[in-house]
Amino acid sequence: MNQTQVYFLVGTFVLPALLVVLHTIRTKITLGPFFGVAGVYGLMLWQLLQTGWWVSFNTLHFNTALTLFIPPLILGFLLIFALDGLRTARAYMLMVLTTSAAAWLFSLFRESLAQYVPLPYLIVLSNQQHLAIILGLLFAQMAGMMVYTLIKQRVSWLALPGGHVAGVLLWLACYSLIEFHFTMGMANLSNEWTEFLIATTPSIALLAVYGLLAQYRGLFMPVRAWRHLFSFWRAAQSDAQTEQSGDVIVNRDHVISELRLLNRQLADSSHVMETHMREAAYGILVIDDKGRIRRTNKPACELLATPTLEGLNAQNVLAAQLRNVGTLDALVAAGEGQRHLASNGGGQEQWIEIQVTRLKGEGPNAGYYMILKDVTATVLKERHQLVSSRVRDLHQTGRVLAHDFSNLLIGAHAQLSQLKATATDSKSRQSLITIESALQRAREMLQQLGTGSQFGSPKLINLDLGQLVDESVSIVRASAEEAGVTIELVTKSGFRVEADASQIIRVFTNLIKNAIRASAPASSVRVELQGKGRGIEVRITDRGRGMTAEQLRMAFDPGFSTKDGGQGGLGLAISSLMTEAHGGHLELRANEEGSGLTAIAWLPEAHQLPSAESTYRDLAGLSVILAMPQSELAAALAEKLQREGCLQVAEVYTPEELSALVLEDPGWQVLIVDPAFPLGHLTESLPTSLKIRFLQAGGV
Amino acid sequence: MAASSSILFVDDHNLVASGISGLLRAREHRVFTVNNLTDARSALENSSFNLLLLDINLGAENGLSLLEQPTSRLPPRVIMLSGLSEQEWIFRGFELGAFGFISKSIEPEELLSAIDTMLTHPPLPEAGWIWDTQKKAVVSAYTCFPKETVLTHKEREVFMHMREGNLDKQIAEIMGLSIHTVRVHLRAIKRKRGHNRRLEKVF
Repeated sequence: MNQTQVYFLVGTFVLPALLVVLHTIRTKITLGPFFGVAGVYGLMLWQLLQTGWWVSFNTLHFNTALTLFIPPLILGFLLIFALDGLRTARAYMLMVLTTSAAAWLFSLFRESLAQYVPLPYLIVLSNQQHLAIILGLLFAQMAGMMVYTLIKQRVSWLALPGGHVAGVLLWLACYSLIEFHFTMGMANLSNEWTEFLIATTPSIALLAVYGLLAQYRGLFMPVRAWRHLFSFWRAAQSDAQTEQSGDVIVNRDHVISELRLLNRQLADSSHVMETHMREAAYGILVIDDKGRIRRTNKPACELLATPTLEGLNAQNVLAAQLRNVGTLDALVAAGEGQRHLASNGGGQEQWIEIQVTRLKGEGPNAGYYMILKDVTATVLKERHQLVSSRVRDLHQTGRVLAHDFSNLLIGAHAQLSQLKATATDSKSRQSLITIESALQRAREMLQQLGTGSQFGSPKLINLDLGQLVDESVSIVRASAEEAGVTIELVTKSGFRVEADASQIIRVFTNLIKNAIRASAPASSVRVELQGKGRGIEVRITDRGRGMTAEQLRMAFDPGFSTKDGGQGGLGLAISSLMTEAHGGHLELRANEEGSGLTAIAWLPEAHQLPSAESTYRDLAGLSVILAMPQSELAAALAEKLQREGCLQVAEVYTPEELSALVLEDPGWQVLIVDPAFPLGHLTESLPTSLKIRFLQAGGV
Repeated sequence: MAASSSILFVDDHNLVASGISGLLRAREHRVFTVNNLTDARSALENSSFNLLLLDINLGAENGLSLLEQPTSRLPPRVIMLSGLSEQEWIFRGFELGAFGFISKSIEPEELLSAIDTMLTHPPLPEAGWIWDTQKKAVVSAYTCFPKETVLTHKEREVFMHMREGNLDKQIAEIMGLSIHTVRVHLRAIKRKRGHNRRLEKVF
């Protein structure tokens, strides 16, 4: 294949491809370059034709000027017509005609110039030939347009290539007939049509592919009515589809496809919203600008204890169900979630967090979007932490005081005993006894401050409340017998609480002791255990002298005591604090029937199950390293290992810690490794005495 | 306690020292009372005792340091007395050979009977005896402090430094350990003690 053949073949691809590329990016750069390139093609056609260039492949002979430029010109027209509308197509047609006319005029100018000035070799075209090319182009474009319109309604994918083939063939026919008249023209037509069709193949293929893509994206202009094609006014009027605002050409179909996209996004977000409303664990209220509830979900109805909320006034519902709720606008202004206590009562308190945002709309206020969350657990947990830290502080204060005072007390007491032993007259003995009882009282107060457990620090464990009550009763049994009071114990096992055993026993012994002290000899104190709400109630009932309403009100104040001398007066206050520390509450009630008091301690039921049977028994007595990434699970497992009787347990979170620990603190016996722990090449440097075990789900 | 034992009583409170020793003397024991460690050391040098009653907190001094640098003449039984019942000190004392611990927040008569009862027990190899004021009985230290809450020697050392307000890095430096090991110990301390007691008052 020689060089000219290659140039020709490349040209048949590149020339139409350039137009197609410029067309695809027209929304970014406008149609200007496209028109410009098409115009250049028109001029080039004349230049090449007047220079004369034929390319032969065996029996096929191509007049390159015509076979290279006619197909792209017609392709350009069809693209514009199919995708940008009739009005733009007409502009294109006009552009092609003016370019051609300019080329013709230039030829004439050169011809006349050649009479005066010697010019290089040039093929001179006849006027007829000029006219044939130009009219051919005009008719070919019209024919392409018509064939496209005809085919489009029936076989849409064929419309563009079909129109193209028809256009090119019609151009050849027009050109042949006008240039050579009928007989010669028909002969030329039958000679040339194969070459023309072959040269057109690349642009047909390009058109077919581009047409399919445009079809897929929905970019085609709607098909024109036949009568519009040649009517100037109709075309102009109804061509509003092609809006040329600024320099961006907005295709109506493009707008439609964007609308579709928008629609799909809307559908998606409404689907998200629906799912959200259906699945959300928290309550959602959509409220209109008048404050009426438009939409709700199930959790919202449950939280507000109202089966149907739609249509109700949000403000009224909130005011009825929650305490201290402000207006919707106040809630919006509050920003962060506000916690409110539900007023539905029923023993259990319930806290609801409300967060309100304004919906955006046309007006200043299009309504409200409200989220309701049950934060009872969080509130209780926070309160628990708060109170237990208070109790711990108290415990600590007590200990520090105990240290200083116990020295004084024991010293004073010891001296007193000696004095008592030596004192002879009854008067001084009497005053020594008074001092002794005062010291006794001081000691008791001190012990109460130091709280129940003399040793160790408070720690919450899952426990059987029944057993704690049994234990408390057995502790006070002796003093009950001493006072001649019987204790009736109605207890049940199976009530689990999360508690610090020594504190809870302290509370119960305190309460029972109080009851015993209040009781007359030969009466009885009843200790009863029963489930109530989400917790357990321990009722301690005596038949004693009871309290006045005034006394009941002050009973929990520190220092209050109905007893003479004896008790310290901190017992109830501390018991109440400790009960609250456990998330419960303590209450004193006068018995409805007969005299006496009932002390009611309510404790919430444990959320966690008691720990299952051990799988680590064989590790008892050993020094164990637990290598695990830092997590609550790691801490829990370490604690479990410790409880199972491991001699010592070390939690290491990183390889550095592991290697430092085994290096500096030898004597570790077992290493438990979580698969997620990056042990890496560390294994080699570990001492051989260290047995390695891998942690799997459910055990080691 | 056998009649006429000889007892060394170390307590910085005169009120306590004289009160308790008076009661002990009333039971015909020989009691020698001192207020500080220097006197205690010289007393131990000069005479021999059957029993040492040692207050842990002696004002500026810590009674346990008497056990840390033992003279060869330490009595066979050492009972710690204190108004505080801090696990760390009690177990530190046991580690140094103390025999038992009795809290001071009891009545004097109870204290005497506690000492008597305790001395009838053989020494506990691993820990020591504690007088449980609620049960009025002598129990093993591990009954009052569950094993899983008792710090190991190393952990206790770290804990003591921590309570003195040292930072992790300083503790590592003092103990000649790496910061990693110190952190592992701190973790164990936190687990055993339930909460971070770094800020607790030093007594």
